Amino acid sequence: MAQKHFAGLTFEQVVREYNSTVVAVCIMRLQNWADAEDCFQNTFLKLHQKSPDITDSSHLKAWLIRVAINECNNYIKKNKRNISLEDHKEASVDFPHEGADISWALLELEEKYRNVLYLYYCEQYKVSEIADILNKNPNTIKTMLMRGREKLKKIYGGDIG
Amino acid sequence: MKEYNFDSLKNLKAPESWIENAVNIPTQNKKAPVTYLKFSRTLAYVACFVLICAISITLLQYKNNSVVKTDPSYDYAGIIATEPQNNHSDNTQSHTEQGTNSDGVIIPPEKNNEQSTTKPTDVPTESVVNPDNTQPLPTEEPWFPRPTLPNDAPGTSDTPTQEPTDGDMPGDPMTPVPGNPSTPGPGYDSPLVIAVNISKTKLDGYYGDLYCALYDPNGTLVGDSYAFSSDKICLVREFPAAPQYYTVIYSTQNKGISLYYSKYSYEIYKNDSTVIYSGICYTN
Repeated sequence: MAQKHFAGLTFEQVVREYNSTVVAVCIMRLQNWADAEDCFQNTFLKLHQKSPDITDSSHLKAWLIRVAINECNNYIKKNKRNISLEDHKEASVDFPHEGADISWALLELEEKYRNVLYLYYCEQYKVSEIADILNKNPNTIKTMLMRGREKLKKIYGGDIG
Repeated sequence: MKEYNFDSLKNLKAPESWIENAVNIPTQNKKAPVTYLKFSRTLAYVACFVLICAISITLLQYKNNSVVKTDPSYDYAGIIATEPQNNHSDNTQSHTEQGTNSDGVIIPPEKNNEQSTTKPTDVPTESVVNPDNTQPLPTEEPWFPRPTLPNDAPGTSDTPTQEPTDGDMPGDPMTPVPGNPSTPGPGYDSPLVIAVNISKTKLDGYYGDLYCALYDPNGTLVGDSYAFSSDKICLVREFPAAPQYYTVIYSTQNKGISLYYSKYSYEIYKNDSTVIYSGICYTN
């Protein structure tokens, strides 16, 4: 059977190239390694099953992020749980609370701001691109960015620009 | 844009086991390709559709062939219940008059309420008022010719058990036995089969059993042989030729009833003893 290619990459290459992005999105949403693993696998399973016709690597990345977010939402609905750090301390993701790294504060944000801030600051997406990935209005994304920053400031107690 | 330090998040890597499992997805899914999943889904849709059709057909058949009771030993070709015509030679019973409607269908007369009859105490009659006892009142349901049964109806046969007498054709009004029909005769071994078409409107949603009470010309209930109450229960059939009617059939066969007269009267009644139909029938 001929190998599938996505944006010029084989399936294995796609997995190795974008696994950090997909796992970060899953962690952002679920804050739990065990749950994130299921959604991680399901994301690439969807890629294999759907075999989207993608020729551009940026589109491929956006596609993977969108599918990962959807998988996480479906997982939460299916399990009917409110993921919180308090409930899943054993398998929860722990980021260092020292130094300038405020990744831990991002995890403590409300869910709706986490993905937006992650895509904006970590993946360096533009507002319009984030709006396209999350299927929201760009103005909504701007508002969520602004409010997210304010809440992040309160969490880690620093200044935001 | 102010940069924030999310290094931990940016450097987050999936465990190697996760990556290996994800890389092996194509080989793990070889046995269940997408086309198979699609085929399974299509197959499930088709199976559901077939099941729904089968259930619908079954319900329709049940509705069209609603039978209270069936007895394969009945020979419906021998159904003979009719009323005498106006040329009836016996004029002693004025209530035997009958007429025809504009379609030529025989309209049986109503039962004469003044006729002295001995009825079972548990069977109140639903009397049809005949004010001057002269002219018969037409019944609600016109007589239909002998119903046409489907070929696979149980008990149907080409040869009726009761051969018509000379000059009588199936469906024709019966010629009475010469002599006084009120006097007992030698006895008739052939069963008496009564068939009545009753409109569904008349039954008004009643789905219980229908019973038949048979009376000799003296008004005596032919009930001594009704050893079991089930002996009085009628069959109810529904035929496509007359969808607005139920055909109520009663036979004396195998009920130990000896028929000594050539003429009997009968009543069809519900389980609360309400009489819904009465008439007169003749034996061959």
